[in-house]
Amino acid sequence: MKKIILQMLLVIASVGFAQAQTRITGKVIDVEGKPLDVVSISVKEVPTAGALTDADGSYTLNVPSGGSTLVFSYIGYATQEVAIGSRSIINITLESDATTLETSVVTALGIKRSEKSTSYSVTQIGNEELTKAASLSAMNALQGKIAGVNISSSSGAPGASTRVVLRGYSSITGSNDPLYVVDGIPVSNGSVGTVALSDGTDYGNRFNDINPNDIENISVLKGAAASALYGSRAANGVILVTTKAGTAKESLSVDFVSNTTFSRAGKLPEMQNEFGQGWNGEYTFIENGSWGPKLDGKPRTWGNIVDGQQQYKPFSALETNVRDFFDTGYTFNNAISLYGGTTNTTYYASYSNAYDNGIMPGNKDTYQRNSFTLKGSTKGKYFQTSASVSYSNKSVSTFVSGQGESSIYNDIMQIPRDISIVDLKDYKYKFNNIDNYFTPYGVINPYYVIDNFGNNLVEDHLFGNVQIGMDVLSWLNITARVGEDYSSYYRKEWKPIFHASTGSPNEGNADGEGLVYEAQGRRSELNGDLIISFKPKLNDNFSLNGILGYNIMMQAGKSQAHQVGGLDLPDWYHITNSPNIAQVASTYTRKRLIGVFGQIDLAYKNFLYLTVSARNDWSSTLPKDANSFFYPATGISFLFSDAFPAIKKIISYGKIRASYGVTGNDPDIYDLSTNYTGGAITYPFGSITFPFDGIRGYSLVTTMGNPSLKPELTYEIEIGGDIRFFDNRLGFDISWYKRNTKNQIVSIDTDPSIGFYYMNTNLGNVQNKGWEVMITANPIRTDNWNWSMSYTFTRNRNLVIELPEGLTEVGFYNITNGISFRAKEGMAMGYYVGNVAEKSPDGQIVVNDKGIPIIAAAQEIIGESQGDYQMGFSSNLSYKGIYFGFSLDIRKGGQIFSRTASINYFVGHAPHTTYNDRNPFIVPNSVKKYANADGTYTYETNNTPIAVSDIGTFWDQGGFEMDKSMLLSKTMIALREVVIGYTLPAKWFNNKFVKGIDVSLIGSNLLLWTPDTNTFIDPQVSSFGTNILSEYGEFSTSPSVRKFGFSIKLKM
Amino acid sequence: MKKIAIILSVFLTLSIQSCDDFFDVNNNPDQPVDAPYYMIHPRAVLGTAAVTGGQYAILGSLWSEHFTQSHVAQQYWQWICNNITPGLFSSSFDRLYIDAIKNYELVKSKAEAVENWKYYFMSTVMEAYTYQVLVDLHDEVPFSEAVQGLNGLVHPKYEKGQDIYNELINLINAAADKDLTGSSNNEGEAGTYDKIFQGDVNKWKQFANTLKLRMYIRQRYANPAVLDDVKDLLTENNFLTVDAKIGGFSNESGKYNPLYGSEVSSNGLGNANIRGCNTFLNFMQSNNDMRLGYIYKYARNTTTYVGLDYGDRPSTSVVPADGLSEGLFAATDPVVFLSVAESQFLQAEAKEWAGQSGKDNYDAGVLASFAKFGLDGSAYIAAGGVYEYPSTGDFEEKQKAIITQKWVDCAISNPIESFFEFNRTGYPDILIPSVNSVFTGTFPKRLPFSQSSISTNPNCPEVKDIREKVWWDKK
Repeated sequence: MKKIILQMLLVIASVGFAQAQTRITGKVIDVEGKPLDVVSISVKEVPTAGALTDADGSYTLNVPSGGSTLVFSYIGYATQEVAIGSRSIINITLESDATTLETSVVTALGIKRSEKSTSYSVTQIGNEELTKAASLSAMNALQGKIAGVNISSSSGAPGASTRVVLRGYSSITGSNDPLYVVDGIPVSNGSVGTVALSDGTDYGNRFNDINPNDIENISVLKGAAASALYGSRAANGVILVTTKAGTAKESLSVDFVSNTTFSRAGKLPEMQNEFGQGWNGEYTFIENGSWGPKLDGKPRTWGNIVDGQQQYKPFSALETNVRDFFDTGYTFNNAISLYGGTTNTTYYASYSNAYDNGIMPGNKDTYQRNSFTLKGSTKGKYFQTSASVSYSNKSVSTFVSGQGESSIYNDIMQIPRDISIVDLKDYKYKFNNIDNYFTPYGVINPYYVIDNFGNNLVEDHLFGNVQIGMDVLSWLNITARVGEDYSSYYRKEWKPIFHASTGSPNEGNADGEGLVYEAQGRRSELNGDLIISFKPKLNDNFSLNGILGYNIMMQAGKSQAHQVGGLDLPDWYHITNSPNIAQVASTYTRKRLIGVFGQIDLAYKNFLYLTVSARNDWSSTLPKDANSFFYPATGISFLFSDAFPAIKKIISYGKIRASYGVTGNDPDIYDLSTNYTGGAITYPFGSITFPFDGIRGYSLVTTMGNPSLKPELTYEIEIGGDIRFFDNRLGFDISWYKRNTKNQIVSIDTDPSIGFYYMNTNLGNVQNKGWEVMITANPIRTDNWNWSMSYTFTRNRNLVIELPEGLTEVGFYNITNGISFRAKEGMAMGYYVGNVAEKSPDGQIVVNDKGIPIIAAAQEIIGESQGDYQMGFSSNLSYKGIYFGFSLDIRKGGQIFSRTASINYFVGHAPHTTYNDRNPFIVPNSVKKYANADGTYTYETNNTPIAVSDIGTFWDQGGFEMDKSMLLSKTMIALREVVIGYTLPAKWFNNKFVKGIDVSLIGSNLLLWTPDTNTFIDPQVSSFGTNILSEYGEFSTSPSVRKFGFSIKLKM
Repeated sequence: MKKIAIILSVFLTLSIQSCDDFFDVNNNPDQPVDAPYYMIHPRAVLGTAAVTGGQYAILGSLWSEHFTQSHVAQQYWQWICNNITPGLFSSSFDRLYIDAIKNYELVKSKAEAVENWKYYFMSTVMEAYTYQVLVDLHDEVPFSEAVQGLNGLVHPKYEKGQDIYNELINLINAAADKDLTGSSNNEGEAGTYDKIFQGDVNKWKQFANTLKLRMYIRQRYANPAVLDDVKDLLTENNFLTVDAKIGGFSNESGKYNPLYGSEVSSNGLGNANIRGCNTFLNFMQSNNDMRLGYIYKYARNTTTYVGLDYGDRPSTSVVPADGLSEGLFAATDPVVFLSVAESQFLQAEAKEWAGQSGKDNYDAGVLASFAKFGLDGSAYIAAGGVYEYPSTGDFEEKQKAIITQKWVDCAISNPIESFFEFNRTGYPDILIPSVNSVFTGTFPKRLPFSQSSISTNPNCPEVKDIREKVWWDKK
C-alpha cells in the first residue's frame, strides 16, 4: 500500500515539475475516407497517456516527455504504431483486417479470455443473432444454431417454457437444466406450473423473463472443464449472459426496437374426411367420435332434441375444422435503451414491453411482460465499480393441457368430422349449452371452457448485482461482488359450477362443482463472490493469469397455497365461496453453499496454453459429516497456426485443444430424511383428503430419504479443434466428448411393498458421448456482397452403464395401463415399454374370437426417446444494406409419446383408421389360440374378420402396432427463422438526430416437415416440464405456432 | 497487502466458524418428524378402504357379474375381456402396502412401545384383512419382509398364501390375548379416531373372530384340518352383529366413497361405464327380489331395468347408448369390510360343515341383507318362499343357497368378496364366461403381480396366467 502511495506522489510530483509536453492533433480515417470514431490512441512508452477520437475522427493528445511512439488501435482494424518524430499533426488511415481480429470469449465467472487460450469448446452468440427474428425468449432464438445444445419450446402457448439440454441428459430424475448466469451472478430458471395428466399448466421459466434486446452476448459452456469453476450447479453446463453496458463514448445513444408479429397454429393433426359421427360403424348423434357411416353430403339431423326441435346439416366433412377454430394471434414487442459513457464511466438503461396474444379464440391466452434495466459502471485509477438492476413483471393467462373436460385441446379432438367447431361458439344457444351439447362423453363445449375456466399468474422478478474491484498492484486485482435474484408470484386458477339439468340429455354427465385455487410464493438467491486475480509478469516467453476465489450462496423460498372445491355462488371465484374447508399447503425451502476455487492459465509465447483449475464446495444438502466435495479440471490449447506462421496463408487459424474436467452436484433439499405427511390418499381419478370426517391422519411420506447420500460427480474428457482456412473464409470447429456421471442422485422407483414408491439413492454411471461439429463458411466477402453460412451437427449417445445392485430398471413414469418410460443398464435413458400383440411361437399375431389382436400379458420395449443426431443450418446474404437470412433446425430419430395421437385413434380421426375403408378385414398373419388339456396351446389360422362394430376397438388399442402407434418419430425439419431486411445507408444519417434505421420482415417456424408416420404433432412440444420426463411426450398440449411480422430498429 | 490478507482471513474464519449453523437448514419444516399412532391408524384404515372400496370394488362388481361394462364406453373393457396386464391393478397393490400396511406396522410398533394393546389389536386385525384381500387376489405376496424399506429390505421375498394365512391368524390371536382393557389402553381417543367401531373392544373382537371364520371357510378345501378351529369359534359364538365398515364419505371432491369418486363423480369418469348385467338382473327379477330397486336404476326414461349379457357389446341400434340401467352408487356409501349378513352366512356354512344346521344363521343373514334397505325379507325365506333354506337338501344345495344370497348381499357393498366366494365354490352357478373374453369357457381366478414389483424386485415370481387358481381354490 505504502509503495503505491509513494508512486502516486512521485507521479504528481513529476507532473508538477512538468517538463515540456508535446501536443499532437490529427484525424483518423479508414480506407474509404470515412472518419473513425472512438479510436484509441496511446503513447507506447507512457501507458497512462491516451485519448480517443470523436465522431469526426479528430483527436488531441498531450504526449508527456519520454513518449516517442503513438499507438493507434481500433477493433476490427490493424493496429498501427507511428513514430512521432517532430510532427505535431499526425493523420492516420487504418486498414481493416479480418485475420488479425482476435476475439475474446467470456468464460466462467465472466472472465474474458482470448479465444486462442480456451481449451474447451465455447460458443458465443451475439445480440444481432438473438434479436433477428424478434423472439420473446432468448433461448428460443438459438434453436438449431449451436452444436451440442438441444432447445425446444414446450408449446406454442404464450409464455410457454423453453427446455435447454447441453450434451445429452445426464441426470435421471434430477434437473438437467444448465446454470444460467447473468453478468456473473446466477439467476433462477425455475418455473411455476403443474405437470400433470389433467389440468397441467405452464406459466413459463424465469430465464424467459429477460428481454433479449438487453443481451450483448450469450456464451455457452458445454463441458465440465468449461464450467468447473461454477461448482455444483454447473454440472449440466452454463449459459453465460453478458448484458449490454454503455460504451466508453462521449454522447448519449438511444436504440429503439419495435417488432410486430402475427401467429397462426402450426402443425395440427391430419384427420380422415370419409367417416362421420357415430360409433361401431353406426350413426349416433351423441357420440364424440367419427366411427359412424361414410360421409355422403346428405342433410341429416344432428345434436340433441330440444323443445321438440333438432338441428340438421349436411353429413359432410369439414376438412379445416380444427384449424378454423384457432385465431390469428399477435405479438408486440417494443424496447428502448439509452446508453453512453465517458472514458471512465458507462451507463445503460432500458425498458421493454412485450405482449403476446395466442392463437386460442378470444384474449384469454396472453403473456405480458414489462422489463426495466439500469446499469452503470465507473473506474478510477485503481478502482472499478459497477452496479446493475433489472426488474421484470410478467402476467400470464393460459389454458390447461391434459385429459379431462377442462382441457380445450382435448375437447376439440373429440368433435366429429362433420360437426363444425366454430359454430359451437355461442354456448348459451340452447343446442350448444351444458344441458344439450351434442355429446355427454367426458367433454364439454370448448368455448364454454375458454370463457369460464381461468389460469393466471403474475410474477415480479428482480435481479441485480454490485461489484467493486481494486487494482492492489499492477498485476493484482481483488474484486468483490454481491448479486441477488428475487422473484415473487401470485397464481389463481378456477373452474366454474355447471350442471346439466334434470331431464336434460347430459344429465349426470356434465357436472362441475367449481373450484378456486390461489397460491403465492417468493424465492430469493443471494450470491457473494470474492475473487483475487493476478497476472504477474514472468518472462518474454511465458505469461500467467491466475484467480483465487470464494463464493457463498444462500437460497430461500416460501409459498402458500389454498384450494377449495364445491362453490356456492356462480361467477364469483373467491376462496371463501364454499361451505367446505379449503385445503391448505405451505412450504419453506432453504439451501446454502460455500465454495473456494482457483484457476491458473499459463501461456507460452501466445500459442501454447495450459489451464488448471479446482473447486471445493460445502453444501447444506449433504449429510453434515460428509458435506464437502472437490473437483478439478485441466486443459491445453495449442495454436499451431501461430506456432508455425508459414502456414497462415492457408490455415489462417488453427487450434487443437484437449481438456479434462470434473464437476460435482449435490442433492436436492430435504433428500436425506423421511418424515410424515398429512396429505391425501389418492386413487385413480380421485383422492381422499384430510381432514376427513372431522379428523386428521398422518403417514410416512412415499419417498424414502437416504441419510448417507454422496455428491454426484461428472467426469468429462473433451478433445477438439478449431481450424479456419483461407483468411477465415472456411472454418471447422469440431469437438468430441465423453462424460460419465457417477453416483447420480436419483429418486428411483422401488417395489411399493417396501412401503415407499421411491427411494433416494446414489446410482451407477450414466454416460454421454458424442460429436459436435460447426462449419462456417464465408464464400463471398466483397465490399458490397457478403454471404456467410454455418452448419452444426450434434450426435450424442447416452448410455446407462450401471445401476445399483439388484435394480434392473428405473422407471420415470408409469401411467396406469399406459406406456411407461424407463432406463436400464445397456440402453440409452428413456425408452418406452408398452402393450404389444400376443404372438404365437412362430411370430403370428394371436387374435380373440372377434378377430381382434390380444394384448400380450407381458409388456415389451416399443421405442426409444434418444435421437440419432441434430443439425442446424443458417445462411446470411447481404448486398450493401439489403440482407436475407434463414435458419433450419433438423432433428433425426427418437420417439415421443403423443396423447394427441392416442385420442385421434380412439375417436376415429387418425387417417390410418380408414384402413380397408372400414370394411371388415382379417388381421394379416393372425392365428387363434386354443388351450389343450395338457396345458399346451394349439394355434390355428384365423378366419374371423373384425366386424364393422369392432373396428373402433381395434384402433383404440392401437391397431396393428398397438401402443407403438402412440409413439411418434421426433424426426423433423423446421424452417426456424427467415429474415429479409434493409439497413438504410449510413451516409444518409451523418450528423442527423437519427443515426441508423433498419427494417426487416421476420418469420419463425414457418415450415415444418415430419415423416409420413407423424401426421399429428410438432415433435418438440411436451407437457412434462423441462427434465428427462419432458422427453416422454405430450399429453394434449396446445400446438406450436408459426409467426410472421416485421421489425424496425432505430439508432439515435 | 497485509491489511487485505487480514480482512480476507477474518471473512473466511467467520464463515467457517459458523459453518455448522450455517449449513443446518436441511430439515424439511413442512413435514412433521413424527406423528402419534392414533392419527396414523385412521389413515391406514382409509388406505385399505380406498382400494378395497375403490378399484377392487369395481373389479368385484364386474367379475361377480353384478354389473357389466357399458357398450358405448371402454374404461373397464379390458377387465371384462380378461385381458389383464400387470399394469392394470398395479396402483391398487402398491397403495395397499404404502397407505395401509406400512402404516399398520407403524401403529403396532408405536402402540406396543406404550402398551396400548387396543390400538395394537385394531391395527393387527385391519392389517390381516388387508393381507387377506391381497392373498386372495394374488396368491403370493411379500409378507414378512414387506414394508421394511427403512431397514434396508428393498427386495422383499414373496411368500405363499397358505403360510400368510396361518401367520395372520396367529398374529390376530396373539394380539387378542393381550390386556385390552387395562389403563394403558386409554390413550389415543379411540372414540374419535377409530372410525370403524369407535374403540369398542368387544366389537373388534367380534370382527376378529368373524374375519378368522372367513379365512377358515376360505381354506376349507385346501386345508380341511381347520375344521377344529372353526368348531372352537362356533362354540365361542362371538361374531359380528353389526357391519365392519367405514363411513363418513360425502358428496364433495376429496371426500367421495372411492368407487363413486373414481367411476361416478363428474371429477372422475362421470358414470360412463358401469351398467346393468343380465346375470344379476335376471336372477333378481325371476325371484321378484325387491332389493333390485335399491341396486339398479331404471333405464333412462323408462320404468324397466335393462342390462347386457356379461361382456357383451351390442351395437347401439340394438341397445341404445343410454338404454341401460345404471347402478345406485352414492357418494356417501360406506366401504364395507365384513357385513353382518356375511357374518351370518359364514356361520351358516360353518355350522353345516361342522354337522349342525345353518338355517337360523342363513335366515338371519337374508333378513339382515333386506333390512339394509329398510325392507322385510321374511316372505322370501318363509316356507315356499323363493329363498327358502334347503334344509332337506345335501351340502351342495345348502352351500349354493348360502353363497348365492351372499352374492346378492355383496352387490355394491362388498363385491370383491363375492368374486372370491365364486372362485371357491362355483356359486352362484348362473355366472357366464364373458362374451368377449380373450380365452374361452372359463373364468379369471387371480390378478397378475404388480408391474411396479415386476420392474424393480428380482424376487418377484414369474408372471402367471390369470386362469391359474389360487391356493385355496381346490374344490
